[in-house]
Amino acid sequence: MKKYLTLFLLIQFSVVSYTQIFFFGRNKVQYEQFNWKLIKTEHFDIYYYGEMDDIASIGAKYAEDAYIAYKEQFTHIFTRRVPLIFYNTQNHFQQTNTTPGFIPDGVGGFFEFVKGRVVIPYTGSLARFRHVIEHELVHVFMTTKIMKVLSDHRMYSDRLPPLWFVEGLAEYYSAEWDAQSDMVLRDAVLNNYFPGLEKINSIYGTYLMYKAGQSFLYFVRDRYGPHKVRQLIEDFWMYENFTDLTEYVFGKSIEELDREWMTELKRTYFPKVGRGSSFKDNSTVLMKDGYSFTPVYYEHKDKSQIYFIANIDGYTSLYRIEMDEDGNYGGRKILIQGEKSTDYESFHLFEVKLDVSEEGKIAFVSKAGSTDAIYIYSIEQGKVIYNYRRNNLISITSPSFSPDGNKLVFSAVDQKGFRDLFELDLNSGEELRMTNDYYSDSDPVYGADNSTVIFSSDRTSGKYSRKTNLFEIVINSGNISYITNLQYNCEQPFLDRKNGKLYFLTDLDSVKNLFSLDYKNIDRTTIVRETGYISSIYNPFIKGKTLYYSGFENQAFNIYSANLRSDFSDTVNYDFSNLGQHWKEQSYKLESERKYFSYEKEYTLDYAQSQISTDPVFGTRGGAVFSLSDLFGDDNYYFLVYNTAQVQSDFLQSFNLALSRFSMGSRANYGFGIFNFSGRRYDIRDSDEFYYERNFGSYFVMEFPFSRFDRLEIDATVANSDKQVISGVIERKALLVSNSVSYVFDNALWYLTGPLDGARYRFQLGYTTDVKYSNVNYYSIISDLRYYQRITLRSSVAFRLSLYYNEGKEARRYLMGGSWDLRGWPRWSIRGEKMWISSAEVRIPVIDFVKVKFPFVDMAVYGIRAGVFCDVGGAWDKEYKESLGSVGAGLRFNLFNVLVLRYDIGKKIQNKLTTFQDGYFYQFFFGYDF
Amino acid sequence: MKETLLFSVLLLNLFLTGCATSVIRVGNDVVLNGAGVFGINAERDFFADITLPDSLIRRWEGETNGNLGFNSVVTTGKLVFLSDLSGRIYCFNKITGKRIGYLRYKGSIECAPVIKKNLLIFPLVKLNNGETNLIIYDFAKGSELYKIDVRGKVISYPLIDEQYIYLLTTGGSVVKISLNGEVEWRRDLKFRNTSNLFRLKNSIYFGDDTGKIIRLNYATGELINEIKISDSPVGNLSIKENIIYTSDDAGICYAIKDDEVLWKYNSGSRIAMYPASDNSNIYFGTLSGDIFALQKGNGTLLWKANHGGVISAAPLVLNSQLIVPNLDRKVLFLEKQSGRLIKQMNFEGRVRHTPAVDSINIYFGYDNYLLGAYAIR
Repeated sequence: MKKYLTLFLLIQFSVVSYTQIFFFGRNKVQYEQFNWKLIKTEHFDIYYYGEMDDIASIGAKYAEDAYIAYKEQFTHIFTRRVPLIFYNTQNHFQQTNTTPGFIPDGVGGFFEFVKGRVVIPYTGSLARFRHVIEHELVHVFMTTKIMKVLSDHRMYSDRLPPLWFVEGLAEYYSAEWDAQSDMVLRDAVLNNYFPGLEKINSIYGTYLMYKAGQSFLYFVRDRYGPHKVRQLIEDFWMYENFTDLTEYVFGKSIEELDREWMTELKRTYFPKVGRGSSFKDNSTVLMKDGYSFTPVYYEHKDKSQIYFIANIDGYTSLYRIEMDEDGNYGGRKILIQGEKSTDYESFHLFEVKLDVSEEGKIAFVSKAGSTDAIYIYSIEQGKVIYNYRRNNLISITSPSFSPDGNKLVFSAVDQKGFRDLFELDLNSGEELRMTNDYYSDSDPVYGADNSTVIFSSDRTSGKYSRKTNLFEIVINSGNISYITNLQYNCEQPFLDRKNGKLYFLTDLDSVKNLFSLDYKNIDRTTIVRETGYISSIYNPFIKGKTLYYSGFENQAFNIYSANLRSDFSDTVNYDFSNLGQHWKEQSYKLESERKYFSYEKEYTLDYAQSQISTDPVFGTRGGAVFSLSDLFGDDNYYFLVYNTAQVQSDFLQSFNLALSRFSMGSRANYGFGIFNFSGRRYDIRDSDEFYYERNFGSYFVMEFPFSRFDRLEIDATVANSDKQVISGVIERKALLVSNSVSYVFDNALWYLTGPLDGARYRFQLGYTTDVKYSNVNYYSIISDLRYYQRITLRSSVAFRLSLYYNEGKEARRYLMGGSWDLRGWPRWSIRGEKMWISSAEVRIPVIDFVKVKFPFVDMAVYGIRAGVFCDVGGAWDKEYKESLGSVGAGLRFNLFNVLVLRYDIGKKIQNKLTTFQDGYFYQFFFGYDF
Repeated sequence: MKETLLFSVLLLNLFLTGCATSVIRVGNDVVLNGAGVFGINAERDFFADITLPDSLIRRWEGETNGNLGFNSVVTTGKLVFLSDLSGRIYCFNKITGKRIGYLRYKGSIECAPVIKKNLLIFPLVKLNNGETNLIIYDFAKGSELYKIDVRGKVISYPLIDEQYIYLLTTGGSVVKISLNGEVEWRRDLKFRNTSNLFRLKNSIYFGDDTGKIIRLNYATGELINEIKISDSPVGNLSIKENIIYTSDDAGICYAIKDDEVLWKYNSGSRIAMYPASDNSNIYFGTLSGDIFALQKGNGTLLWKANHGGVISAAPLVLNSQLIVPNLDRKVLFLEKQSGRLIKQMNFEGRVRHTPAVDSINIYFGYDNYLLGAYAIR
């Protein structure tokens, strides 16, 4: 649940796009100033920071161990050192500039191809850390091996296997097949949505794809031998098409192979139906939309209520449902909207856990700025009444109230990367650290009273070393004792203090089901089955004889309730013999010449591209652009050079150059540069004529993000402009100084073709003046507000109100007209130094999926949406002329997330908004909705 | 005018380069009545009765288009022939390093060419289809004699006798072709493999992916026996004194005589090469970087060494030394009797194939697309 399941969301709801972004857009905030350190091992450069020395040394050992194993598996070594960059916690990892985009919760790490970097967060669990390191190193080995295989054969090394194989291979070599893996595959097979090999692209990018790939390779290994997996890489050069290669390696068609694999999966999973029950058999579904987790029950004013965290509409939020008179739960209400404001930036959906106290307080965790925070919501008051955060506790999970409600225990990851247990006194605000080591301690709950805490941990030693079992710690003394000692993982304990039963989840038969033990019995050595579902359950909450839980079925996490049965006879006995000392993790032993270094910046090329173009307007131009950055992507240099000369004598005066540097390693991002642009231009904001202009100068920009959602922008430019409309006759010189300051807010939720929910706005003030010749002097005001009101899950009404205002001497004109603003009117045909536009649009889904089967190929189209709109606006220089408008409807279609195609039909509103045009306009273009 | 002339010259140059004839023509007086085979000799034991000087000086360095495979270099007389993975065959003068000619094909040549008198014989693996062309080329005259279509992919070294060529496809088909380009027979046995053909008396052998050694009648291709020795794929075979030496994907080295396993040795790590041998011992390396010397008679370990890296191609066995190519950009020179490291040569790129040796040079191929000839006399 904690690994890659967020990818489920990505297929349901679009990731926040940051393409239309530079006018709006969210912010990647660097809260931390990372002081990087470096360990050089035999094959890797390990970068880490702060107090992560122990974890980094352990990670270095994991990496070198993986290298030894994988060089044999791949018959391959890499000849250059690979940088591994370790971040402490997901929160820090999300601040990285090694990738320009946002990293959602659930991404465990990545291998970045341009600079060959591996970037990994440490999340408090050594087992997970090892898995992610090994997973990413498989990518490194596979990619470099394939590139070598292709270059050995002198082929272009511009192709890789399909993603399902790439990720499946990484999981195949690095991960065990655990209960979570089994859960997703079993659900897909039993609910008949597993696509198989031939249609595996239909689950592209999802966690199921990862696991399907891994499962297929296990099947290959078991049926045909592990050498066949390797052969798919060694012989990669033989066929451009991976299906052809697969058929060659196995000597049979892909259909036959698929059939074999599907048969094997059915053989594995179908019998389970007879051995367990589905949720529907004996549970009542309380919440079945979206992904819902961690239900807690509370009775408030004689009303039965369930509180839970869910993502139903694209935002993860805290919800409540109530039981009505008929005994049904409904009336879903959002109590705390997540992901729209800084305080509730992210609830970490797949790691979330709520608790409710006897007094009606709910404890939950959210990311709030640089760290997580614990919030306490009062049911009675209907608001948050308490919050807690510490700068040294970066990631927090599983808050749990003491029996008297005055204290909380929780699990947190600190600056060293240790996931340990803490207790918070809600009255005094003091916290107590209960554990302090690299064992991963989670899911704490109080014992019979305030003096002990029960938790799950991987500190198990002896025969079941490193398995997650249940432990108990005496708070005052710090003594830790075993509660369970099983070869299965035990987690999420829940103590029913009335009947003295300790409930918990264990993956005994590769399914997370509820078990219990008699907590009051000191000699407890038996666990008893309480549920026997065929799919896993999470976050059990028990009230009386009723179990509330989140269960995974048919691609969704729903909330259920069930009566606890006492008719299971399964028990498992265990003992505590041969426990021994807790296991110790080995660190990488540094030889004398490989030691700790401090990081020194080195810049490498990101990309370099040259281009020659010619057109009837501007003639022929040629140039190049290239970019350098440092290892962490914090410092970037851009170089642009091109020439627009038409004749040899113009070569020098038509030289264009721009050099820029952007620094993004600290919270305030800034950039500066110099430029020289000269040549013939046609600027429709200026006049309708060609002119020659030479424009050279420098600029400075700065962005200060207040939060993920809003920021301040400042920019200043000094440019010498020499414009010649007719040489020697109409000329204009100016030494222009431009300044502007802007405030930008954006918490919009994006869907396939544009924003669906939230708001974004920009306020900008600017001033441009010619300090030498006084030829130019104007000020600018921009106010652009956009608001999106959700109607249904995938429909909304979008509003826009924008004002662009330049006033002064030689003020630039703004442009309007076309598919992006005033629809129906010719593109950029409406110009003025002042401009306003207002729009209202209803956005709805039209076609989710349509497939046309041709004799030779199938074509499928996804997600066609429609908009019904009304636009009104006007533009003027000195005197307002008239308002123009349009109404209409149109279709939008997202083409492979590269661009959105738009087609609108409607009528212009003319003559001061009094008449419609004759006929209709038809407009085709591209671009996201406003 | 000047620009036009310059442009025309450039265009002509490009045209000429693109249309350069691919040919190897050495003339009859250069051709010896011998044969050049990969593996030094017909038994492919990689043993040469040679002692290297204390230091090796590079005589010349030649460039290829693609990288060399695991077994790409053969020498005969004054000539060195090598194949590369981009479908080219090169011929160099051993002494001067001058490139005498090359052949260019679309596809890949995964093994060294066989040289038989004036003939170059090699399989050309086609891309994006399931076929191979067997090319028989007269390098004295510089003309291609035959191009025979073979269904299946041939990536292993062909077996050759006085009159016939035997090919093994990865799909488990064996094809017998005469030197006149006629297909005598084809047996579709469906024993999938990454092994090679070897002849012992009147039988030919190869290993398959299910851990068997397949024995066929040499003349007719009929199946004689399937000898199950392992549960893992059996790799390349070499035969010495009527004993077959081979290894499997689980890292076990075998000696097989009269269809029975004489002994086996578990190295603990994958083996991806031909076993090399001299009169007394078997030598091989593993992908974890271990190098072993076993006594031939009973498989007893003589010594084991590890100097890092990945050993994926057979070592060259000389009188007192073992020359071990290592993917980790080096060649190791070990004392044959003890495994002690005498010296190592470092290279800029991977050393992927078994060094070839003749009376005057030892040859190392390495990234990127280079072959170095080092003088031994």
